[in-house]
Amino acid sequence: MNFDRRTFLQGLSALPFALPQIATLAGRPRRRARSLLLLWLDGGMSHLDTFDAKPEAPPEVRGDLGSVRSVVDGVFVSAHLPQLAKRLDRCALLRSITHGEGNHDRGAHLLLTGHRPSPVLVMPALGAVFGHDSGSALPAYVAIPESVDYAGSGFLPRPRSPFVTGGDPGRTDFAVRHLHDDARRARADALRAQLDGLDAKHGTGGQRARDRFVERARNLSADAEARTAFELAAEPAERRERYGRHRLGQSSLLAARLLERGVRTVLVTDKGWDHHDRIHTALTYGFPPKLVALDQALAALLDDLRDRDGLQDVVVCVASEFGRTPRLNPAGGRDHWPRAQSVLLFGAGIQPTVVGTTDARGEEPRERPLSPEDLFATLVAALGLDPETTLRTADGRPVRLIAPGAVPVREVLSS
Amino acid sequence: MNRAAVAFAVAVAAAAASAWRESPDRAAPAAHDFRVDVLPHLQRLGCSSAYCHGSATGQGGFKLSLFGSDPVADYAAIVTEFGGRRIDRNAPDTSLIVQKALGKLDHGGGRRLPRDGEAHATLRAWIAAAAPWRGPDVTLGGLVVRREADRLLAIATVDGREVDVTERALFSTSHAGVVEVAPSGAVREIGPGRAHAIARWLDFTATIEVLVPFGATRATPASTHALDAAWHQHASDLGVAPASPVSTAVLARRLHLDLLGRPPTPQELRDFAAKPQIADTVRHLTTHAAFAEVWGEHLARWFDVPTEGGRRQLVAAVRRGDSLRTIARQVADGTVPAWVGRADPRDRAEHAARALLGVRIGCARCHDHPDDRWRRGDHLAFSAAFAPPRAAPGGGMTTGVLFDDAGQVVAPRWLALPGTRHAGAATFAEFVLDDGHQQLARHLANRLFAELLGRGLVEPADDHRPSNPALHAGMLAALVDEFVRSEGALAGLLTFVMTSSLYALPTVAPEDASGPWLLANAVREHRDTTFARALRAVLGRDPSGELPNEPLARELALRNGDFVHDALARGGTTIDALFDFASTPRERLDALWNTVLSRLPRDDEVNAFLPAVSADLAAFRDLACALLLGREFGERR
Repeated sequence: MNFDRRTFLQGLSALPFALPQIATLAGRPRRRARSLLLLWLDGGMSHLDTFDAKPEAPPEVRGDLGSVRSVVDGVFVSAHLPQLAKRLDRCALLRSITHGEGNHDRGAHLLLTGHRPSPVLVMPALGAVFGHDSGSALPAYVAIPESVDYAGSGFLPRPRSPFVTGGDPGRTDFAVRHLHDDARRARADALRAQLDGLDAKHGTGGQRARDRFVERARNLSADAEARTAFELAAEPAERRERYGRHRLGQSSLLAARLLERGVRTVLVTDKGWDHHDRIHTALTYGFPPKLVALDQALAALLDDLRDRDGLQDVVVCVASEFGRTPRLNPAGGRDHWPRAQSVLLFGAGIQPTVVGTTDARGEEPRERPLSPEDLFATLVAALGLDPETTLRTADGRPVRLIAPGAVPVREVLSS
Repeated sequence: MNRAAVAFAVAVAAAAASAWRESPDRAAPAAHDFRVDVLPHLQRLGCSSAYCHGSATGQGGFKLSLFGSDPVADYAAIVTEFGGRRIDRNAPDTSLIVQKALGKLDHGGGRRLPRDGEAHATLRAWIAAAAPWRGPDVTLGGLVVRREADRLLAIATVDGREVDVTERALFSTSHAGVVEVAPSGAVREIGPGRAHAIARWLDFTATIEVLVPFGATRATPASTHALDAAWHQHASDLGVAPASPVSTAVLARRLHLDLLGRPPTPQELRDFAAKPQIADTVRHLTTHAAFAEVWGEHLARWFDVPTEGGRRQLVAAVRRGDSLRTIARQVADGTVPAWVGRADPRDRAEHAARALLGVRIGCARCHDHPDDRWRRGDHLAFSAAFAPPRAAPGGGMTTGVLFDDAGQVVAPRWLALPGTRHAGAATFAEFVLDDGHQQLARHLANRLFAELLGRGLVEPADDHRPSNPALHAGMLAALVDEFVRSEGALAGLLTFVMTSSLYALPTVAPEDASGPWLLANAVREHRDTTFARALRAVLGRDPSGELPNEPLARELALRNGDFVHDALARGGTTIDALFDFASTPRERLDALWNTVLSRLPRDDEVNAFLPAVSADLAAFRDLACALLLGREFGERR
């Protein structure tokens, strides 16, 4: 764990860590985003079966899940997302994201870091880049319930990787491990603090990177209030029901809870979206069905972001590696399809709108093709980060946070 | 690109050849070759940097190649694009390129060109001479940097004569805390240390050492150990008296941690204290199974061997006593798979060059770089040697090929490392083992040194290039000589470094001469595998579970989780045995410190912790837990 803080901070000197200005409009104050919730549907979400339904396409393309008209004129979504359909006018829906990375690894690197994968350098995810100097006892970047490849610190030092909660928030006995001061450990810990205190006096080379984390672990264990951020059980039953008593719902609620208490980035990972066989069964059966869980979690997040003061500065992004093949395969599944995919944004700094369309079969963007790099630049802009930010690799090479040529999608950024 | 190729016959107009500024003559320059005269200025003024006209799309409709890597395109952009509107041969001063660079016309980059400076004069003269691409041939020899008081001079050899190219060279420093070099070549010493000032001109790189001592230069003690002799020279150059060596206990702990990945047992400590013979100890410890495990892991990391199977092969090779040369051959010829999983020959080539030779060629994959000796053509030709076999038209497999941008088959060529004897080596392994360039020896000796001392003489340890010279050339030469003499014997090289006085330096430099100067041993945290191995050795049983990667989660798991607590609480550990066997609290305390930290407690520790060990076994276990999770146990000091 070689963490050279100074070198690293030089690289980040261009980042504004200060609170963005709060622009007060008539009525409710509108804010720029200062925290990010990334809902990662791992495996590749089928755009045709979710946000880009094609009711008029032939059956082998539109599938058999059916679609509903959303509140936004002319936009259809899956019939299994009824609550989202009613709230789509609060979202920016990007239907024309297109790229060329058709395997999970490469697609994940592109979508999560905003850069095409390179053999020499793994880029950091957005959560690893900002918000780490907040001074809070809570970690700046949390992954619930697990992280995925390329959502980590990349070439930045390891302390930038997300704190992983583990476990299944959908279970009634869920608790984040190792958070609580165990009375049985108290004496050992006190002795250790004393020992390290004496050690520091003996000219053994001064401060260590590790000391900071020992200190933070001690503070977090002792700080009951900070720790409650992780306590899902403290949420009222009504709110827990609204998010759904399942892994995705409760993960999203835990994310909201952490964001309300100052965590800057939360990654919620929902595994199991790689549906090569019988996709419609996979999306609509199970406990709960994938789409039901997604609908419930998104509706609850949308309502909470509208209604709750603590979430006024959160921007939410729902994404995955790529879309899925428009034409169902013989196994009734859909395969990887990077040429068209849908991404949903909402919350602070986001102007509700629908950007881009795909062709009649959902194969290619027809209007306004956008790249994942553009999406990344949009999030950077929504979060008020300097688009010129340059990071430095361990050997001092400068790397732009935003890939060359990437342009934020202006239509979705509220002014 | 190799030096021979760099010495391309460049052209300077006949009139200009005589007007090259022969040092020390400082006559006004006349310059009439785009590549030699104009391009260096565009680099130096930042015009062709990534954030200006060198970006992928250029700036304001004017695009230059990144760092001047494509002189033909740059010449076209300046001289012929848009009907040549950027220059005016009849009125150089009103040329768009001059007016913009002077800031006289609206220019996004502001004023870049100092008025009436050499760059300005050169640009004007070149345009006035009808902006030629090149003139008659001249031969370029090398580049050297000289220091004259507070100024560096970059001197090139052109047609056998010395020419001052300071005004066209790019300067940089290896340690900004020691020396700064202004674009004009002016040097300013900032603080004590040993650094290099680096000059680049065209494809040439030259360095000069800048030494700023901490104190008065001292006499160098004689030594029969070659590394020692070089190190003593280094320390006395810096005016620092060598610190007294660490105690035998600390030395024993270092030897065991470095060779076996765990601290010594109390018995091993006693043995070493009774007979502190480093060479014998190394000979003995290198026969342990743990030695092969630890060094097999190091080798897997050096060579970036991704698979468990490959790691096992390296462990077995160390156990057999294979030399580093033999092991490198096994990696280079694919016996130990390092880059098999990579399909792209360019990825394979980059991996192979970095892992086995400590040479990074990645930049040249996309663009030439002034900081880099490799050009795109070198990268491509080297990569061609790594093209995977392909299906032959008539069945079976045939040698793979690589195509260039124009669709032509690229002829494979090894990297032109200076001194290479067999440029036509048939296999990569043969090229790696070429004893002419000695890059394998330089790279592996430096990596081994870095593994033991916490930093390499060349740092980063896998980035050898002319613009990144070794901290001290003599020390690296001593290591390379030993590598060659012992034919890369691992145990022999370990003994060589471990018996030097450098290895026995304390962790704090004397007279506060701190910094990366190898005047002290760097304190470093154990890697996770070493930490787990050390815990297992002390507890006599495995710690519970695995530690998380993210540091906060790791500390929470150590503090509040079962990782160590559980192993201690289950009882039956060495710690419990210490409690049972000692008869007084002080004996218990001594035994605990000796077992965990390989030393006896200091007075302040005795005062602080004696009460704790007087109590019950539970308290004793808690103290052991505190020691195992504290900083000292987790570090190599």
